[in-house]
Parts: sequence; C-alpha cells; structure tokens
Amino acid sequence: MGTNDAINYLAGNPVLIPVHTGGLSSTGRFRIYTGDNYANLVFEGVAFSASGIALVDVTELFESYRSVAGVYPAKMATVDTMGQEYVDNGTVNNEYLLKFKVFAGGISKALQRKLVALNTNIFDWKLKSNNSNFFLTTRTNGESIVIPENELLPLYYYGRSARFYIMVDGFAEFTIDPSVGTTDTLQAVDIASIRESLITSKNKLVSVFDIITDSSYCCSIVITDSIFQTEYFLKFRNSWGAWEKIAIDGVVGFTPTFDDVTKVTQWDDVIADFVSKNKRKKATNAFSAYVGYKTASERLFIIDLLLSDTVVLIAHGLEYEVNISAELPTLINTSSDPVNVSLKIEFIDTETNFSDLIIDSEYEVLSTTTLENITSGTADIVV
Amino acid sequence: MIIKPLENTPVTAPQFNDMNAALSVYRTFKDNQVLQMSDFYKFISRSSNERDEFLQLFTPTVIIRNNLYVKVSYN
Repeated sequence: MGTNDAINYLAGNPVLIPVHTGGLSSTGRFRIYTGDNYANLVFEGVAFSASGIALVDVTELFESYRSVAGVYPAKMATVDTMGQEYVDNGTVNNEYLLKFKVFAGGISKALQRKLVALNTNIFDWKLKSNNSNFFLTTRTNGESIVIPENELLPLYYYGRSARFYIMVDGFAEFTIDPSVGTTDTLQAVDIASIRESLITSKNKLVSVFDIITDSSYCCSIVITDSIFQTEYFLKFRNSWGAWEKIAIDGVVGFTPTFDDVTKVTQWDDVIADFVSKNKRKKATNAFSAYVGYKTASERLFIIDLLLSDTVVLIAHGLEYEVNISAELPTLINTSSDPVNVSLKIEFIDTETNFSDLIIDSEYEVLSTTTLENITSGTADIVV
Repeated sequence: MIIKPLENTPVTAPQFNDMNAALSVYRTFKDNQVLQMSDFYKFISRSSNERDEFLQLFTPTVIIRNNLYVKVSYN
C-alpha cells in the first residue's frame, strides 16, 4: 500500500479510518498522529478484520476541531509487532501509511443521504467545488447568498487549487489566484471592504458580486437593505465553524432570573454567638428580542444559530457571550409567509452586582464600527 | 417551466453607477455642507429613513435576475 493524500473528513461527522490488519489471522496495530509535522501521537490501537481492512471510528479524537473553522492534518500509520513504524518504501509487506485531513464543521444526516444518493461527497459537491457555492456560510448552499448590508462579515472558504474571480457587471474586478501553500487552508474574502474599495477605483457602489472560476459560474453574493436599523446583533459560529451575524430588532425585554437565597454563618459580637446571614444572590441576565420577519429558508439559518456553541450578543459594539433559545412554534412554522421569530438571549456569566443595563442610553455613544470585532478569526483575508 | 413568485425575492441595497454625481446630490440634500465621499458612504450604506428620502431624488433602474433577486441601481 502506498501513501494517500486525498482523504478528507469533517470533524462533525464520523471519521472512519481504514486500517490494514494483514488478513484473517492477524491484527493490525496502528498509531494516529496530528499536527503539521505529525509530531503528536494522539492514539494507538489494535484492529482486527477477517477481510484485511478494518474501519476504525476515531471521531472522538477530533471532537475539539468541530467548532472553529480550519483544516487539521493527521496521519495514520500501521506499526509492526516490534513497534517499528512501516514506511512507504514499496518493498515491505503490509505497510500502510495514510495521511488525511480533518476539516472543521459537519453536515446534517439528511444532506449526507442526499450526497450519497447523488454519488458525491461534501468536498466535491461544495467545499472544493469549482462550480457551486463553496463559501462556509449556512445562509444557503444555493447560488444566491443574500446578506443584509449590516450583517456583512468576511466570507470564509477553503483555499483551492483553481483560480476564481469576483465579478461586477460582467467584469472581473478581483482575481483570487492560489499561491503556494494556500490550498486547503482557511481563507476569507471581505465583501464590505471590496464594496468600499470599488467606490475609489470604479466610482461605483455595488451590491451584487458574482463568483466564477475559469470553468464555471459558482454563486452570487447579494447585499440587501438592512431589515431594520439597530445596534444589536448576534454573532455565532455556524455549522462550518465560521462566523455569521444576524441583526436583532433591539433588546426588548429584560427578564433576569435569580438563584435561591444562600445563608452564611457570621459571628455576632452583641450576643456572642453565631447567626445566619443572607449571601448576595446570583442573577442571570436574560433578554428577549426579535430577528424580524424571516422566510422559511431564513428560519433554517436561525436554527443553525440555535445549534451553535459560540454565540455573542453585540450591543452598541460591545460583545457578551450568550445562550440563545427560541419560540419553537414560530421557528418551525412551515408556512412560506415570513414569520417574526422571537429569541430569548441569556447571558452565560452570572452577576452578583447590579450596574446599568446594556440597553441604557449612555452606551449609545459607543460606535459599533470602532469596537466590534469583525476580524476573520484565523483566516487570511485575501481581498 | 415553474416561475417562482416574486414576493420573497430579495431586493439589493442601493447601487450607484456614478458615486461622484450622487455625492453632489447628497451635498445639496444636506444643505451644501462640506461632505466627503467617506461621509456619503457611511450614509448610503446604512438603512435609515433619511436615506429612503434621499433615494427618492433618483429614478431607479430595476433588473430582475432569474427571479433570484431584484437589482436596483440609481443614476
């Protein structure tokens, strides 16, 4: 067996590694390494299979890669009974070395079934495709990525070997040419910056950008009007581990919850005895908010927000980590008519002291654009 | 052929083919204040009632693209 560089997995879906066990009466010992130089031995095990190849589920090893967009190289090597790693020299029997990559994120079982039925996989169909929407957004897998202008964030994708172009009115305004080492690394295009730069270079304000490769049209990025004027947003890591942003129509209700009273014992000098005292309670701040009228497909995007493990409330440019829940009946309403979805936003941090609320007007002097963290995380912004 | 209804078809944020000309209109709109392109961009790229009022000074060109979205351009 030789080296195979072509195997890719998603951390959020089963990672099944084929281990060559050597045949009916033998077992295969194997080791898994991670890191750019495969320096970290993360697992060592033994597999048996009468057919000679055992599929070993190592999904748990890559659990921590699930939520933050990126590509993580790994290697599986079979080892002989003396613990000596076989190398790919083509002469030793039973040698096997498998290099593979684990990409952050995951896809639904429903989409997995659809891709199997289409005889393809998520890498050919989307992530490495040169003729479809390859961006790491869960707004849509379709050809038209619609983003309100106040929800723009850099759009992530995985670097590809093929060139692509950002087109405006049929002309290629930007060419993204793969340079050495960017294939399969996390990259991003900052559409807001591109839009602003075209004012200087082309004297135009543009709201539609077409993405094409040398061989095909991929998708369009359509910037729409903001749904409402607001200083409140939710930013979350989507199913690909990439940041998304949703505007919310203000923070309308403040409904804190309080822990039960806890007693402490103190010494009382007057009566020379111990007495009970109340300890300050802990409060969890919670707000309710509306995300505005959403179509059926936009409500699917809200479900990705609810599934996220990292959600941040941006209020007047300041960020607070929160948990989100929603009124399910409105969210899963199958009507094609837009429905206004209500969310409950609960702060992760509890408080024992009271200060002004984030909805107080004095915070409005803060500017969203100067304070909000709109970086692309670990991605290189190529435009 | 199935034609999708247009009710839920997104409409683009305003596009301008000549930002310098639009800036001149904006200066007049703002009582001839000294305003730069950066001021105008900040104004035009954020939805507001005042922006809606400003856009009414122009005649929009509307293009429907494959029923996917409606592109609205001014000047």
